[in-house]
Amino acid sequence: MSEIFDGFCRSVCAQVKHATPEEKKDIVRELSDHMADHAQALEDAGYSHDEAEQRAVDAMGDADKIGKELNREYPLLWLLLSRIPVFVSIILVIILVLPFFAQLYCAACNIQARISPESHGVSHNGHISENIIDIRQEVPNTNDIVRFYCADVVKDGDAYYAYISVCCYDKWIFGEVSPQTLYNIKYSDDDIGGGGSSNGGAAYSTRSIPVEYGQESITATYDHFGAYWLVTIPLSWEGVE
Amino acid sequence: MKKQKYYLPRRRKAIKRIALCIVLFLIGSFVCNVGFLPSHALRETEKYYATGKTEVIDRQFGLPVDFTGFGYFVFSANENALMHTPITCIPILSWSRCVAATVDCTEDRPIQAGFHSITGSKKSGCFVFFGRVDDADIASVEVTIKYVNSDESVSATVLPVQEFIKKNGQRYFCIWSPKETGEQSSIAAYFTVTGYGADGELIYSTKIDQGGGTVMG
Repeated sequence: MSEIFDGFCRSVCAQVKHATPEEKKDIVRELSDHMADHAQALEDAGYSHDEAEQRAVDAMGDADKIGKELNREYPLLWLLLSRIPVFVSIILVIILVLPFFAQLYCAACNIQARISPESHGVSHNGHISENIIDIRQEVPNTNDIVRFYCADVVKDGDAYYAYISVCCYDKWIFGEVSPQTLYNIKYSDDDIGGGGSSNGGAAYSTRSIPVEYGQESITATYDHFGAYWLVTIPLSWEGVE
Repeated sequence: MKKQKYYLPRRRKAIKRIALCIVLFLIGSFVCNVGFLPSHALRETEKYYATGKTEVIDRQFGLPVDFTGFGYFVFSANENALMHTPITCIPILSWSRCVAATVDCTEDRPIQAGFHSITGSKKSGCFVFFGRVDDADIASVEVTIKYVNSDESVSATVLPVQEFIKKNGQRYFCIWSPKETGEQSSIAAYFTVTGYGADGELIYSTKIDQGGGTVMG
């Protein structure tokens, strides 16, 4: 670009205060192309090269005035609105990277509880459960689903115990399960609840409840902050002496 | 036309970036369970304790509890539950909850009350007492803290409820008392809530046995 065009473009760009370097390059390219076309036409009409360039610049008018008019076409608001989200997005990515990987693990645990909770491991004193059941119950006031997945009857001395295995997972696979939910499941009036384990995506608990020989079922109740449900779990005595 | 030629790319770029930012925000909220707003932390607490959705009754700033980051306390309630929740903002932009104190209100009582024992760093801390007055005859309420000291002596502090918080036709209260610190500190504390009628007659008194404790670092 000739010096005379370059000087004109710099004068114009000096007035465009909120243009980014890329936008200023576009302005320079457009102005210089326009002036070069005009100068070429003047040269073709018989003007000398220098005179054609000078006349092309003169024809553009006052550089400051053009620059001020162009400046209005580059409002600061949209520049800020395009810059701020970049900053916020970077912060968001930094915040989300670690939780995202943790949530992937939770999601895997959630899926396991939905599909095959027994693969989480069910063992009572070395006895591996074979009596797989599938009773699911929504927990009011939460997003949790409780799933009763094993119900074994085991003889211990003269007494019989039902081993009830239950898991809990969130309806949303990335959701965190509330470990409180399983604590609030009771198997009798004087049951004070029991512990369990939680891996974030699912919670598991196995409880042993004394039962009478031949008892057909056992009831599990949930009564918490006004939410109530009752589930009847059938017991299988097959193979129990 | 010339105006649009310069103006639109900048606007289009801004809109695209804002949309990307919103998508990231939604991923954070729904996939990563990151609480970008204090209300997220309250919703998580409701879910954790299975109380159902609660409405904010009062927010408490400036309790004498030292902890890292910025935070405050929310007293919220619904028909069946009262909840007092510490909500903190750590480390950046992420709001999280600590252990909350809850009260199950499903049993009929003239006063539903709970305590929240909050311990911060530097041995700071306080007891917060929150509740709902369900008996219309009760005109005033006071909470008594009975301290059992290390020398087995007993001392008591009475905290009158100065003003009820009225919301949705219900009367609530949320008061606090700093914990004793130092060598004279008590080894146990018991709480009682008492309701009086308009003429000062005793209507109801009971131990406050529901609630919880939170240690904030």
